[in-house]
Amino acid sequence: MIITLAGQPNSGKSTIFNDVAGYKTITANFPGKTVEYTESKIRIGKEIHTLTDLPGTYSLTSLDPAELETRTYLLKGISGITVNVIDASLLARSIELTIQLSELDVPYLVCLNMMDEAKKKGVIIDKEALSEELGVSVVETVANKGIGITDLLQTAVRDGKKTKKSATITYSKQVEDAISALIPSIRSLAARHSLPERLVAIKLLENDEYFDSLINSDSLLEEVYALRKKLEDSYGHPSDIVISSERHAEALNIFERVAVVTHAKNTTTEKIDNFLMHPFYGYVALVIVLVALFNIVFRLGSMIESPILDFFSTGVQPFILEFVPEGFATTIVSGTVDGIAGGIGIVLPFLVPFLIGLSILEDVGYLPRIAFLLDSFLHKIGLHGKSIIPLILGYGCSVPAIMGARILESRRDRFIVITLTSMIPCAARITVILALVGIYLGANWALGVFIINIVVLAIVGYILSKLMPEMAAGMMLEIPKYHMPSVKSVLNKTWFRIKEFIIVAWPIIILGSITLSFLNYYNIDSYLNTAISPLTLLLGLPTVIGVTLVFGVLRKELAMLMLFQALGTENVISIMSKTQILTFTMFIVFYIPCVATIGVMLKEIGRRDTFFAVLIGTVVAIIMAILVRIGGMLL
Amino acid sequence: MTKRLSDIAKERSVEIKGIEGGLGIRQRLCELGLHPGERVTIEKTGILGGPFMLKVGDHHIAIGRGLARNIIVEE
Repeated sequence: MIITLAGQPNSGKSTIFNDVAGYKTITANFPGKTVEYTESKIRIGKEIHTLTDLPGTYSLTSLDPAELETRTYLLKGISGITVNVIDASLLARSIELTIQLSELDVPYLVCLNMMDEAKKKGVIIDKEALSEELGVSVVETVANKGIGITDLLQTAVRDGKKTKKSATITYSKQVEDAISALIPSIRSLAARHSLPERLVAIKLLENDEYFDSLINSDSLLEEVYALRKKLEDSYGHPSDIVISSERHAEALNIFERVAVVTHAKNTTTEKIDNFLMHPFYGYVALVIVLVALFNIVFRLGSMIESPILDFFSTGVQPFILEFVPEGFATTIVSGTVDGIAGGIGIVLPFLVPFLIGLSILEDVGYLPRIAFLLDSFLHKIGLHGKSIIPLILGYGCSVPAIMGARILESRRDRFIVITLTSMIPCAARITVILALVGIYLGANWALGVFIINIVVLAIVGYILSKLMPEMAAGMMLEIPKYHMPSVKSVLNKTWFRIKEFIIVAWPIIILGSITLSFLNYYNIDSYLNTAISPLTLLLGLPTVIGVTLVFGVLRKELAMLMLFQALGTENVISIMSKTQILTFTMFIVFYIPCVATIGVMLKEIGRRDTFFAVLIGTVVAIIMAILVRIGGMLL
Repeated sequence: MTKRLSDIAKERSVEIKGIEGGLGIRQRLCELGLHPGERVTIEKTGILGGPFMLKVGDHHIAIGRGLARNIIVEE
């Protein structure tokens, strides 16, 4: 049986999923969409079932792609039962989605999650009464402590095998009259698409575009318009607002019948927010949090990095090469080992702690607060607060960061944010900045590169949003309560993002590495150096490093190693001047993202937009490198 | 007196009278609990024309100034 988890964002759905899902969890997209769901086989008692975690949605309208896909999926009827996960401390609001689920007329049960939070807030819920109201089972859980989950799944399986109808939740007389008036006319329409009649009637009254598109007769359309008009006239609001307000009112009524609030006190969340969202201290705290995050990540990362790299270059590489015949095969093998080592030794030591840190911030509930604090700054460059989340992820690895841009609603925002994200120094590029600029020019210069990077991104963002003006709908997001993150959920989130690196980026890195040693073997690099010499000359860089610039695209984290190789020494300063080092680094930071990133960009924004994003990055890189060169000549 | 939410000074409790704008905006605002008749409290305002943080029922939402302009309220 397929058991489906549906619920509002931050209801703890994914915590439940992560608690029981095995390591064979798959993340998939709905056909042709960027909306994702995750799925895992789970064992309940003696049986194996499938657990599907749908995206969190506040309601089930057809304007939001995630909501529409969720609704379509549930209406297909492939799911044996739906578990409506509810944050018990936000019961009143959550019931609005429950009412919509009941309208879909699919079997479901309610999971009252975060019961401990509800108790702390003084909300006492009579779960029998709620079960009575909705006509479905109600199970209590505290998912982040693993309480009640076995009971939940067993109840789900048991209810999924029954064919009991849930209760119909009714609206006010006026709305019910409109529904009853419409039902006879839509009978055949509902039957043709095998949809529940009541659902079709409600959705048509609610101005739902998808259901509107099913109508194929003018007389029905006129009838729908007339009924909408009648509702609008008597309530003074558009009919969609009428229905959604009624649903809200009904949810409140149910809440009042099944729950009592014993004491409403200033919660801990509000007290913390008085500080963390303060117009001054909030920003101080933000800077401290980010500086601490990067400090821990890079201290930890560099501690792990060098022993791993040493192990590969002095242990694994010579050992394997003993068994490989001299010549061409050697280049292939050492290229492969280099590629694997690059992934394990250079990227993962930084990426893993970074993603763990970020998952903790996400689970605690700090990310939406960062969006709030930075919204007005991002507005200056034509974006809004939510964009900050993929941008921050970009400092880890561009691949998951670009996928993270899916949270943005508009296509234009996604394009701008993805273009900017590809220019943010990822862990690989940060190591280049630290190892070249940090060592040869000093820590302040390295910090300067990061600051210049942010300034340039702000300018590029500003220009792009001026070129692509759009009536931005603006930011709207929930500011959830603070939560103690659960270890399982943090590790799972980290694993999902790492998996994106391992599956998408790493194979490409290994291929790139093989190509590179191949080119070395046939001495093709000297031809490339000549071919690229107009660029190296323009930037005032030694011609021998041309190949590094070209193939930095294959593996950015190797740009530095390749530089050593090209120069024939690790003591860069003996051959390149400080200006040249800075020019090189600046170019590496901005220009064409690595092939793995290009791969994801193609998937997320298509060929044309990827081309423009890459072009923008390259132009910016050339301009910045020339500026550094000119600066160096003046000083 | 009716005003737009974006014109309200900070830390006030107001009643929503209506929502302007297209279907998309109306639905997005409604699904986060901003219905006509609902009382909301402005708890925090972001600096430099930043967003509002509102308390709606028992939860908090952040909403940009642009969107706040679509909400008609009464003090």
